[in-house]
Amino acid sequence: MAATGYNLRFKSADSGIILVKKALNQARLAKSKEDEAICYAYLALTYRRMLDLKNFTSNANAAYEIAKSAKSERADAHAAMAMGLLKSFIEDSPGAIKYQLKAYTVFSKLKEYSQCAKISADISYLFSPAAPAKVQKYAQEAMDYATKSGDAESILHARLAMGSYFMDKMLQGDTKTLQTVIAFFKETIRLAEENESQIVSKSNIGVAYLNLASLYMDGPKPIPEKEILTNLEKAIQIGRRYQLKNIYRNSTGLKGQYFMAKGDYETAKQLFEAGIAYQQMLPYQDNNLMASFYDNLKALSAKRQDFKSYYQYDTLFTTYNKLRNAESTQKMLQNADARFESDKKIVRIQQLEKDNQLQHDNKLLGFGLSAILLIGLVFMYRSYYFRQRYYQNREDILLKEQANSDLQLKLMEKETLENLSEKLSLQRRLLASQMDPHFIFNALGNIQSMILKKDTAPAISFLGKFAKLTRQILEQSRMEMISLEEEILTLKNYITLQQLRLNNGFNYDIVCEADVDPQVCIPPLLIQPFVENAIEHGLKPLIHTGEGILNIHFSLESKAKYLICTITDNGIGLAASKNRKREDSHQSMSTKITGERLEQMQKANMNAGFEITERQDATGEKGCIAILRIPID
Amino acid sequence: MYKTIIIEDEYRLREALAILLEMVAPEAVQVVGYAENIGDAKNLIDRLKPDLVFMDIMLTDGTAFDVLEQISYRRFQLIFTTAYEQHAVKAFKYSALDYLLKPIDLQELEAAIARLPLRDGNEMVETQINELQRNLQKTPDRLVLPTQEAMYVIQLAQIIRCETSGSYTTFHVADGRKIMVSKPLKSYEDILLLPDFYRIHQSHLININYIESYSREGMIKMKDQTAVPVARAKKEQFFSFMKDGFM
Repeated sequence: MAATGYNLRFKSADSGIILVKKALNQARLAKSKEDEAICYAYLALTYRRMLDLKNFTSNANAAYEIAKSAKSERADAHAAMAMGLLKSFIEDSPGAIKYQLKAYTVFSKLKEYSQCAKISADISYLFSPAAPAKVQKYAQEAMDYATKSGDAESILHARLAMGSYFMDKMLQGDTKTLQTVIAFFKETIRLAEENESQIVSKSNIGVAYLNLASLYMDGPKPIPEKEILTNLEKAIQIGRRYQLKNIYRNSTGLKGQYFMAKGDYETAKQLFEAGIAYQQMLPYQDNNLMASFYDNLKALSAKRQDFKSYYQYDTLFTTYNKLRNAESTQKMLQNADARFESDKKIVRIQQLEKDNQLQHDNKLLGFGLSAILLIGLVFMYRSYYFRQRYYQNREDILLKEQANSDLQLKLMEKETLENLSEKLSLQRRLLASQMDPHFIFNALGNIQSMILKKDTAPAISFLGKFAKLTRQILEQSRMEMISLEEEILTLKNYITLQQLRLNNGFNYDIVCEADVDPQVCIPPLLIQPFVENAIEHGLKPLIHTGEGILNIHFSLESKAKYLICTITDNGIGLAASKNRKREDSHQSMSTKITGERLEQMQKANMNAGFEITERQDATGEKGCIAILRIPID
Repeated sequence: MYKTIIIEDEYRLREALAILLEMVAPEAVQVVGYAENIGDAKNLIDRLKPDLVFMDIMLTDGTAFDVLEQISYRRFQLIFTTAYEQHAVKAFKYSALDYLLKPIDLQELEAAIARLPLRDGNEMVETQINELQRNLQKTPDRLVLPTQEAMYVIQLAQIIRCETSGSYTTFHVADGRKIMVSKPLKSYEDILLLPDFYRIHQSHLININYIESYSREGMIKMKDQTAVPVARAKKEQFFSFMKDGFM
């Protein structure tokens, strides 16, 4: 069933997939690991045909994994074949050869000759053009196996591999064999035509026609025009009938180039335009095809010295070329996905770099030899593997892009770390804890109000104090230590601003005992959060009475070397303030930071710390007391 | 004429707002009362039945939300004022409630007053207040869309995409509705956020959970079969986002 589904791939990929998936379910139910692996392999191959790299990859991997546990040679062989084709699809030639050889060995053991023939042909392609001896060897083996199997499709496949080997040889200057090769292809075509109904992969027939036509074109003059045109016409028919893009493109293009070489520019132009019109009829867009047609038209105009149309074609060519490049970005993303799943990615990248170098050299050589026609032909010769070749250039860009994104990732990591440390830096947090945004914007609102009421003098005074406080806090948050005197100045400034804001609704008093040296050094901005607490939560609800009093008292514990700061208010008290359930994230943050700072100090001085309690003194006054013990040297 | 109450616990800020209103809309707005704590605010609203209330979030003895819970009269339009309450501001945005930042900007006040006639309707304010209370308690998962005819409450997960033209934004909702709001897309940009929402274009913000496919040319097909372009400048970033997820 899986095999039937697989064979359907050319006619209707979707129904083929459904059939194979059904077979897969049956295999699962029957608990046959072997069949399961084979089904996955078939699925992978079908997705390959649909150029769906993602599903191709996942199914090939699944086939391989399951085959490992299946302990079946057939499963192994199919899985290895799927992996081999995957590697070849993503241009991992060494990997492809490794897997294909494995599949080849097992299939030959199993005497599955038609599979052997196909794989051997594929191996032959993989060795091309680097190792001609191996190319020939495997092409020959493919032919042998194909004959043994008697399967028309395998025979065609194998013969094409052999033909490709011959053409490689000719490219390297071996012209003597030309007649032999032509005869070989004629025979191939004859065989293919005889058994056309048995051959599922119609594109291979098209490839045979194309190869023969280009051989004629390249052959000795005078060239047999009739033969060329017949073969190209046949290829075009096949391309149209089965919607084989490659075949259609290459045959129309080749025909156009033939007329161009012949000097019949008008016919050539018509052909290229017919190709474009045909493509525009199709429901999907093939930018690559359009670009190459316009490229040909461009070359044509250059030959005719018709610069106006040259310019027009160039514009169109550029448009499609851009679209084509956008497509390749997408393809690169896909290739990158597959790449990460590949186990031997480093080895492969190195190999690819070598391949790319080779590819580059080849190209330069091609340019040097002779203009556009030859390059066109070189591409044609590779029509079967055209698509894969086409990806190679992109690998270069892909590698660069990957290097770039790695770099970006590193930079981002670095930035994150820096951000983190910055966030954690006490200085920043300290500043944030002192400059309550609520306080800042309310202060600005007060200034706005005074301006609106034209109370110029109070506005100027308030603004001046606000600027002074901002400056003090900015400066002190950067210091390790400040004198008590400075701290008291900042506190006074802050409290005055709060008084102005709250309509002088409370009074304050700061007392320093005589034995406290005003020049003693303490960490900056420790006390302000407690003062803020006392005002906002204790005294503010009572501003109407005008009886609120804030006392700040400094004394010295000389033996233990610490300063005692007591902040007392006669406000509504802790319990009442908590009942008001005001969520104040700023308040909790600044108290927390002060707590952390005092804890740090405890390491050097046991007595450092603070406590906030409800007032319960003999006078019966309500309110709250905060006591801070600040270490001094 | 809008009968207006100002609830604000700092006397100078109260005065400032009254003067600013006199400058901006002497004809349209008449301030009839002040309150600075929860109890006074409740009594004043229930007694005077205002058309418009400016409400500071932080009051001496609690918050504006305490007031909203306690009042029995709710048929007024509401504009919040705040010095700095990020959490609350976010909740306002989801509830489509108007707010002003202190010190109050003259132009912003003018714009807020100009928006008032667009939002008449009693149930509408009721809806917004209910949504606000919900949004303050939990992470907002719905959005209020105010239009001429109604207040729509839409689940964030039901928004397929937003498209802007000028100062209007059209919301495409999963049930097929298209709701047009007279606000620019920019005002939704900071509440419709990653990981679900992505601003792919000057005029388009999409819910990435509704992407059906995206093409190499930078067109995104949404599940409602509409196509949306990705801005050239955002293509690379967007594709890498789709590939690797949120970084």
